[in-house]
Amino acid sequence: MNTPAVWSSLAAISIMVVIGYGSRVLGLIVMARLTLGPNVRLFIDAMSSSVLIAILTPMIVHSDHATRVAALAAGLVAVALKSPLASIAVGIVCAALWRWLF
Amino acid sequence: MMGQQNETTLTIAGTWQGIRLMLPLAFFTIAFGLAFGVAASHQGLAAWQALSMSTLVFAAPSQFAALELWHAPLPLLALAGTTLAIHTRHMLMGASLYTWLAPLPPLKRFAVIFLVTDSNWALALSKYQQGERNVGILLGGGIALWAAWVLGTGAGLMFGGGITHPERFGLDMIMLCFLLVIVIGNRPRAFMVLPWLAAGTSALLAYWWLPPFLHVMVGALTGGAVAVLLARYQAMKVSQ
Repeated sequence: MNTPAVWSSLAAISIMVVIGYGSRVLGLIVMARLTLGPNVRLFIDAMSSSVLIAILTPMIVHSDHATRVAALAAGLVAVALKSPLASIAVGIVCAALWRWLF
Repeated sequence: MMGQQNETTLTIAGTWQGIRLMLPLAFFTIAFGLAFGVAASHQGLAAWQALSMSTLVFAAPSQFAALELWHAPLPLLALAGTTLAIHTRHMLMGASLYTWLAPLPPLKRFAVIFLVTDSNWALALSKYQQGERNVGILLGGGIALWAAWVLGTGAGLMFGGGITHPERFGLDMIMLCFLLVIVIGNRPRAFMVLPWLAAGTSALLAYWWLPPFLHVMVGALTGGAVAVLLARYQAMKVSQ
């Protein structure tokens, strides 16, 4: 596998740390003094889940059948049982089974 | 009990209470950390990289999302955009804690806010609304979750490093399933169907026709915009 260079990994992790901590602190010191309209709140809220959808969709479309079956099964379990761990377990087992069978 | 303490406090006893309240969930967090560790070693991250992420970033969604982007050369701009889109919500969480944390000395305030994540925030805020003023409940919950997340990551790295063909056991599904679960396992609302469809479709189109990694931002912004437009449209229909 093509592993990224150490300096770029360090840069990547630093970016994540700064954004991760920065957003929490920024909320505390800046956002508390601004009043956000309902539209802005809704936009931020929808954006935070849409970004994950945006990552997932091409991942699922451009993959093998095992992945699609696993994603479908894990999604159904997530909605029906509301248990994240069960859902991940089902996804893993489905993919493993599918690859073993076909 | 309630109503008597209107002053913000931060005590060891309160912190213990926060830790105890969060223990059941921390148990699950160990498993998620384990999943992250396995997925990270599968994705080619060195142990120090995965561990420093878990220790310092302490946010499962952005860490799993980062794994998906973890190829050489690292798309730093895309990574920053993705992380930002995921973490903007943390600003709202931080803002909601302002009145409670404001009386604390700055050092304590900025230390506590580091450990704020979805679960302990939700628990602490509901306790605050019931009259709880001890920030320990937030801090303790954060400590429990953070320790569990880091421990789990370490265990996952040890365990995952020893597996030579992770995809044969379906272990390459962890990342995908985890992201899926975060999106739809957490109170899916009918209102979000349309924004999510728009986000998925626009992301896929961008994935095909735009420069690499832009699809994440395109999908995120489209989803947000469609949600706002939809809310406006619904409000218009009600007022007519």
